[in-house]
Amino acid sequence: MRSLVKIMIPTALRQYTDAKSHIDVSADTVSQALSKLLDENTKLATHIVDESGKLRNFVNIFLNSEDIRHLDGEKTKVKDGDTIRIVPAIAGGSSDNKYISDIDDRKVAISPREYRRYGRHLIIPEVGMEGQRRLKSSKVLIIGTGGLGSPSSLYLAAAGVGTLGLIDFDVIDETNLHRQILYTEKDIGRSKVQTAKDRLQLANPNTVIKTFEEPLNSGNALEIFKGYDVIVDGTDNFPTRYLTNDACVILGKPNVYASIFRFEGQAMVFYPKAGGPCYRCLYPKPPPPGLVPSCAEGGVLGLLPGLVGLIQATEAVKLILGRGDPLIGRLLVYDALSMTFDELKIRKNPNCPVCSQSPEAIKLIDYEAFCGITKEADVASVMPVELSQELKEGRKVRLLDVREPHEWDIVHIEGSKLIPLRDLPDRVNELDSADEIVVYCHTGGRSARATDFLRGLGYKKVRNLEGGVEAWAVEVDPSLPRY
Amino acid sequence: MGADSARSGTDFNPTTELNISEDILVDMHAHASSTYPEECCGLLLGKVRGPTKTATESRRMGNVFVKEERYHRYTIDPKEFLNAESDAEARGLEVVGIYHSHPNAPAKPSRFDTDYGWPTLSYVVIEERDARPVETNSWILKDDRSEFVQEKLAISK
Repeated sequence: MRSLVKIMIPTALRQYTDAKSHIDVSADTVSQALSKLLDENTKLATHIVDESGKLRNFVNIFLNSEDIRHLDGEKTKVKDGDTIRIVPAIAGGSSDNKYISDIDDRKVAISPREYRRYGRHLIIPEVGMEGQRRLKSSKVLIIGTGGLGSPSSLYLAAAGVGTLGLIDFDVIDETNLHRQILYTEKDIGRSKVQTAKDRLQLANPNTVIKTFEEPLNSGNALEIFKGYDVIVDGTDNFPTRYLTNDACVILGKPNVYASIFRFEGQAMVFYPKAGGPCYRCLYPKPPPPGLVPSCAEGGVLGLLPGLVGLIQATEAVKLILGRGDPLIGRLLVYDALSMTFDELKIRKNPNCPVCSQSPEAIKLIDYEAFCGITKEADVASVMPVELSQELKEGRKVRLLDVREPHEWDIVHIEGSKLIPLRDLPDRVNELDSADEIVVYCHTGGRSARATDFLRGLGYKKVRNLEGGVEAWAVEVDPSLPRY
Repeated sequence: MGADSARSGTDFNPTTELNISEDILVDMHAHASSTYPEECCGLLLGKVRGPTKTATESRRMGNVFVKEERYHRYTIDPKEFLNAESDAEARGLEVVGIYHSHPNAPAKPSRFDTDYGWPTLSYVVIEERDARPVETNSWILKDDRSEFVQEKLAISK
C-alpha cells in the first residue's frame, strides 16, 4: 500500500505545473515520488534532473523539514501525510576561472575536424572540451617576437589559442637565427611580425594572428593591450618592461614576464588583480644604464629562450584554463649551467608607486627618461664614413675599443686600443685627455656610455662611433667579419 | 572591457522587467560593498504580474560557499532560503529574484551562474570594484537553460 505525499513546488517552477503550488502523488520512497512528479510534468524535468536523470546539484530535496541527504537520500521511505519540498540551492559566482573572468567560451565551438588536432588535450581532465573552448576564446599578446616570443607564440598557436597579437618593429638579422626559431636564413631582412605571422599560420590556420609593427609606447600601449586576456612580455629592454607592467596594472591584466642572459633565465607572473605583486614591487627602480647588458652586448645561450619562453607560454595557458598554480608572487630562476631551478618568494610592496594605487590614478610616463636612457644625439658622435675620411686625411685619432677580449678576437679596427667597459674606471689613466679619442663597441651602446663617462671626467675630445664595429664593417671595411 | 563584453555577449530581452525601489538598490549596493572582496547574495521579495516583477523588499542572505572561494562563488543555505520563502509567503509575497555581487568582474552571469540558475527568477548582478558598485544589471534564464538574457531593470523613487 503506497503512501500519499504532497510535493511542494517552488514558485520559480510553478509555470511548469500550471501554477499548481503542490502536487499529490502516491509513492513508497522519495525517488518514486519524484519520478511520478516528473512523468506528469515533463517540462519540470530540465530544471530538476540532468540529461542522465540525476538530480541537479543545485536541487535540494527536503522531506518535511529534513534534507534527504541527512536521511537515506532518494531511497528515504515516505509515509502518509509527508511533505516533500524542492528547495533551490541558490548558487552562482562571478567567474568560471580563478584568474581571468572575461573569457567567454560559450560562443565558440570546437569543430569535429578540430577534435583530432586537439585530441590529446581533450582527454586531459584539466583541459577537456571546456578548456579547449577557453583556449580558442582567448587572446594572448606577445610583446617581442624574438628569442622568447618565437617559442611562446609557436606553441600557443599550436595549442589552440584563438587570437595571438604580435608586437615587434624589427627586421630579421642573421644574429637572430641561433635562437629565434620562427625564422630561417631566407627570412633575413624581412619584417619579424610578418614572417612570424606566416609561420604561425602554418602551425595553426585556425589561430587569428594580429600584428603590430610599431614600437610600443605610452601612447599606444593601453589601446593595444585592452583587447587581450594575457600579456606575455618577451622584451629585452627596461623601458618596455616598465611600460608593459604599468599598462597591465592599469587594465588589470596578467603580465607573464621573463628575461634571459647568457645561461640564466627568470620568469614570473605579475598580477596585482589576483593579489600578487607587480614588476615594480620586484624592481622599484631601473638599473643605471649599462649596468645590465642586453643579449646583444652580453650574449645569450641560443637554447635558453626556448626553455624560458615555454615557461611563459605554459603560464599563459594555465591562466587561461584557470588551472594549477601560476608563478604569481614567485620568481623562478633557471640556471642552465648548473641545471637548477630556484624559486624566490616576492611580496607585494604595500607602498608600490604603481600597484598600490587605484588604476585611475596610474599614469603612463616617458619610460626612456625613467630608465635614464640618453638620446644618442646627446653624445658627441661620428659616423663610420666620416671617421674613415678623417683617418685618411691623417688626422691623429686614438681609437678605443670597450668590448670584451673575446669580441676583440673576432674583429677589431686596426690600430685601436682595448679597454673593456667595466675596466675603464680603473684604467682611465692609460688615456691622455689631450688626445682626440673615438670610442667604439659592437653596435654603439656601450661606447656611448664610455663616451659619457670620459666626458664626465673631463676628456673633452671624445666621440662615439655610431653603430660600432658592426657599422664600420658594413660601411667602411666589408672585408671584416661580422658577428 | 567588462561592461562592453556584457552588452555584446548576450541578447537584451525587453519582454520581461524587474521593478525595484531605490531603497532596495541602495541596500543591495551597501551589502555588496560590505562583503567585498567576497561575493554577497540575497533575495528579492515581491509580486509577479505577467512579465513584470515588482520587488518590494530585499533580504540579505549569508554566503555559505567555502570561505576561500567566496571571492567568485556564493551559495545560499537551503534552510535559510526555505525559511525566508515561508516568511514571505505568509505575508503574501514571493521570491521574485536573487541578487549577488561580482567582485572585480562584469555584471553579467558567468557560466557557473548559468549552470546553477533557476528559471523564471530575476538575477540581479552587481559589478563591484574597490568596494564600490560599478554596474547593476538584471537577467533571466532561458527556458532551455542555454544562457541568461538581460531584462529591463526599472528603479523607482
